[in-house]
Amino acid sequence: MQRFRFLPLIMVVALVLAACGGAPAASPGNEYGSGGATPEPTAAPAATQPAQSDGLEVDRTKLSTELRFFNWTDYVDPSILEDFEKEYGVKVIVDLFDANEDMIAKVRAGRSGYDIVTPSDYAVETMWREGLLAKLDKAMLPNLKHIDPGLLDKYFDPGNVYSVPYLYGITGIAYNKQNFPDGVDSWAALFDTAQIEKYSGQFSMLDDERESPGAALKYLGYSLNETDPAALKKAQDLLIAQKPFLAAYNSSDVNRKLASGEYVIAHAWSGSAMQARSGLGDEFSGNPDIAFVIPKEGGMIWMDNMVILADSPNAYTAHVFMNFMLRPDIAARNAEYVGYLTPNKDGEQLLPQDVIALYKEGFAPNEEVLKRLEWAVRNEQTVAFTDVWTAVKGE
Amino acid sequence: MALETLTSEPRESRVAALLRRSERFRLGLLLFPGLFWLLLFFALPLVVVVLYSFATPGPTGRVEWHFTLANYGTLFTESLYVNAYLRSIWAGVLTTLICLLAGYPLALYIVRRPPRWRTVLLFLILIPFWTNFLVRTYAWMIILSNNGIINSIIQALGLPRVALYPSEGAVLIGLIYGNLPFMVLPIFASLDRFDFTLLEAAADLGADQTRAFLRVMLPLTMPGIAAGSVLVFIPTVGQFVVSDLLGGAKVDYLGNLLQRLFTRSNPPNWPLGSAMAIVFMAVLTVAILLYFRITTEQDR
Repeated sequence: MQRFRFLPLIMVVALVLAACGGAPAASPGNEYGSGGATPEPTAAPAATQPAQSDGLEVDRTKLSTELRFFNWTDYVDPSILEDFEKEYGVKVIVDLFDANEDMIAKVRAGRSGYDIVTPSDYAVETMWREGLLAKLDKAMLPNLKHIDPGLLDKYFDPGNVYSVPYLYGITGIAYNKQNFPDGVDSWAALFDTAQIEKYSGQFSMLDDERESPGAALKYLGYSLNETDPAALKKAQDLLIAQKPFLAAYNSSDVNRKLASGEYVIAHAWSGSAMQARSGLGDEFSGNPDIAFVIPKEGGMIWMDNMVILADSPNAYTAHVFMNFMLRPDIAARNAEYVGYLTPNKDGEQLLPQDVIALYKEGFAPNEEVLKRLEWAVRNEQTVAFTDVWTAVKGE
Repeated sequence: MALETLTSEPRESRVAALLRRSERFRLGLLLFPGLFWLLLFFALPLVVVVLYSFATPGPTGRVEWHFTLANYGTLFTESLYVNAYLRSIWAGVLTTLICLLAGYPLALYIVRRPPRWRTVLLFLILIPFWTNFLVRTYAWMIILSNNGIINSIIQALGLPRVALYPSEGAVLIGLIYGNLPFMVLPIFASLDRFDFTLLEAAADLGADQTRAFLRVMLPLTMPGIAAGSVLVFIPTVGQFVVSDLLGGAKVDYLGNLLQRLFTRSNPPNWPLGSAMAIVFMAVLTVAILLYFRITTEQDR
């Protein structure tokens, strides 16, 4: 009897400790280095030879041994980082974030230790206005010429002083052709209660305070940046009316649930729809019936960008890496792996035929669709979206 | 050797004299390491949160140091926030009650087994904790989903599928599942110390089983119930993972609202989040003090 007296107490302590570790902490730095095969100090001939393909003469003595890349989850082809290490002997250490706000808070605290980060459009503006970003040395980025001019010089960074485009995407509707043989062309498919009650519990909206209210505003015929209280109230009511029919607000595994058939239709990012269609590596296989459309009322366009932090100790190496990522063949490989769209117009030419075919099907915008897309801007008024979203979630 | 003793002797006695002279000094010296860590890791962060709760959120999420009471004003005037509190507390009460109703008999059962079996049973309760809580919550998603284990069985029986997940019911299942051991183990600890011959004594004095349980066993195991309830209630009220994963992120609990205010909303609103956390802490402290006063009344 005696020896059991303290056992429960010890267990309780152990449980409490276990519970403390239960929160979904950000993944610790995933290392995509080539493991045991540490790069040997570069042989003399290689050192003097400039890397032709990058169009940049790299002074290898100025390179650091490591580069810290703070990136979105599942947002870079790991083999590309291995190639960079093989070519320059710089090991790229990736750390992950899943929200701009979270990432900015970490960087803002200072001495984050990261060199390169991939903030979305509006977040770039927040960051440079706060002095968190280093000005780019364009002379070190000759590959910038491959980028689509239509995606340069945007509102968040006029003249691309601080950022270069990384990947972009559009937000619309992904659906299963088996369930919608006639296709889908309007947000009504997600908001009209007469329609959605037929697939109640089998569709999702993005768990994002700009995306879902933005879609509702579009359906109502407004700009997705509309902050007029009456319009916002209508959007809020629409979302609340939709909620009982919804399976979930989901921004994380829409791709899997569409591919498996658990969702028949969903508010989705183009890349995640693309993954549902063609699968993601060996994680899950694609579903050939998945289609993607930007509804006739319009949708959202957004872009993630590479920036160098003002307190990065490896700015030189970071420029070399950036230029490497801007190389058409690398950009194409990355876009093919990740499923989002590359702003690299020369890289786009190098994509395999099946990917190009999917783009034509609607997974990438054409000239006509581009006119219906809107950037979500942030300003003093758009704080109102937080209130709309809180009201919808609090219902 | 001798020289060393000579030189160190007077110094030692001076310290000893100081210690003798002041009882308080000695106490301070002994408490210092503990207090230091407590201040550093508990009080300091708390002070920062309190300060934040009176600050103003900047346009890009940076906290600006203009004193304001607006954050607290928002919390008490907007029904949304009040509702999130009530919803979370309700979920906490419900989870605690169900855990108690399920956990007490379980603990009693285990305590009455022979010692060898008790160890085995306790470890069976503990083993799931060697897996991350997140992973176990994902397991529930697989069990409850439309194409999941339960629905496969239902379909095999020729019945229509049931939408079990995501739902509020699934959230409750996840919460109960995750917290049950926190209830069982403290109750087990107090039952272990309970002298079961007291029940025989009660019976000898004419008490029936129900009466013996209510008047003898329950009061004597109250400390375990109190500890278990607090251990279940607090994490349940503050959680956000279970309602996100099993509830489809459709309804805000306190934890979800806090998480969003800090890391998702545009711009993030740390001051409002901090005010929420402070009010939450105050409410919990009062509730728990009351609870302990009620449950330990018999002692005094």
